Amino acid sequence: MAVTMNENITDGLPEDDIGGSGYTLDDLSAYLDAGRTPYDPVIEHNAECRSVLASLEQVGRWSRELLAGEAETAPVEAAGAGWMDGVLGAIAREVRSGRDIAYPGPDLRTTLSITEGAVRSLIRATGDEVPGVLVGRSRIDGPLDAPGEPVTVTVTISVRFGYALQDASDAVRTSIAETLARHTPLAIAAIDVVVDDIRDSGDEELGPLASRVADAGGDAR
Amino acid sequence: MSTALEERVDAVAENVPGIAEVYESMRPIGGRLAMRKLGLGPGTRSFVRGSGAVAEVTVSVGLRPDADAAMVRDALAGRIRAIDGLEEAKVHIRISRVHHDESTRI
Repeated sequence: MAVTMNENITDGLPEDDIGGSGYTLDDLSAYLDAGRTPYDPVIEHNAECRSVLASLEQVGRWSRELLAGEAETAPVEAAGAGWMDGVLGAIAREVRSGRDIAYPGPDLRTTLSITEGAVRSLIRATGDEVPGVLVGRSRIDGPLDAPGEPVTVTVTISVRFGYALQDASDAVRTSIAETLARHTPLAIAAIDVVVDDIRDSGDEELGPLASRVADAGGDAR
Repeated sequence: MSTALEERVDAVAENVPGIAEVYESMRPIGGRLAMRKLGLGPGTRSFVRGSGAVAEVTVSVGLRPDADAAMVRDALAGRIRAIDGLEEAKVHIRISRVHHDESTRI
C-alpha cells in the first residue's frame, strides 16, 4: 500500500508530522499495516519514523496478546481505544529528536551526542520488555545540556491485571536505570514510576490508579 | 544535494562495528523538506558542509544494543578522516536511535 505524503507539506510541516518526514502517525500506521511495502526510503532512513514504527510494532504485539487472551470476550479495541490513543499520541510526541545530549570526549574536533528522542524511545522499549508492562509516557527533567548534572526520569506505565504492581515498578526502574547507564551519558538522580492503569485480560477498565498507589505509599521511587 | 563525499561518509558509517543504521542527518528539517520538494531527496543521509580545514561532517546513526558509543565515535571519526578531503574535518555524530531488539531494514 502506497502512502501519500501529507498535502499540507507545501505550507511547511504538518502539525503532527513525524521527524520532518511529511508523514503522520496515521501514515506510518498504514505503512506498517501494509507490511512496510513498497519500501519508502524517506520513512526507513528517518530515525524518528523508525522509532515510531518500532513502538507501533510493540503495541501491536501487546494488543494481540490481549486479544488472544480474550478471544471469546469483548474485543480490546472496544474497551481500550481511548487509552490506546493516549499511548500512540505519547509515542508520536516522544520520538521527536528534541535536545542533543552530549557525551564527554577528549577530541574537540569530534562531538558525540544522543538525541532526547532516542533516549525516550529507549526508555519505552526497555519498559515494554518487562512482563505485563506497557509504557504510557516518559519524561526527562533536568538540564540535558549540562553534562553530569542530575536528571530525573518519570515513566507512566500500565500493568496487566495479575502482576504485582511493586514488582513491576521495581523491574521497570531497574531495567531503565541499567539501560540509561549503558547507552547514555545521563546522570540519573531518580526514576519515578507511576502506575496509572491496570488492564485485565478482558481489558476491563479498572480506573486510574495513581491516587490509590499514592495512598498506599506505593509510588515507587 | 548529494555529494560524492556524503556518499563516501554514508558508506564508511554503515560499516563501522556497532552502527546498525545511518539516518538522515540534515538539520534543520526545513532543509530536508526543501530537498524533497525539489525532487532531490532523500539521497545521501550524511551531511558535509564546507571543505578542507573548515569541513564539517554530521552523521546520524542508530546503534546496536551492544555497541559502545565511545568506540563507535572513535572508529567512525577515524574512518571519516581517512577520506580524501575530510582529513581535517570536524565530525559530529548524533545517535538518533539505539536499536532495541529490532531487526534492521537496510
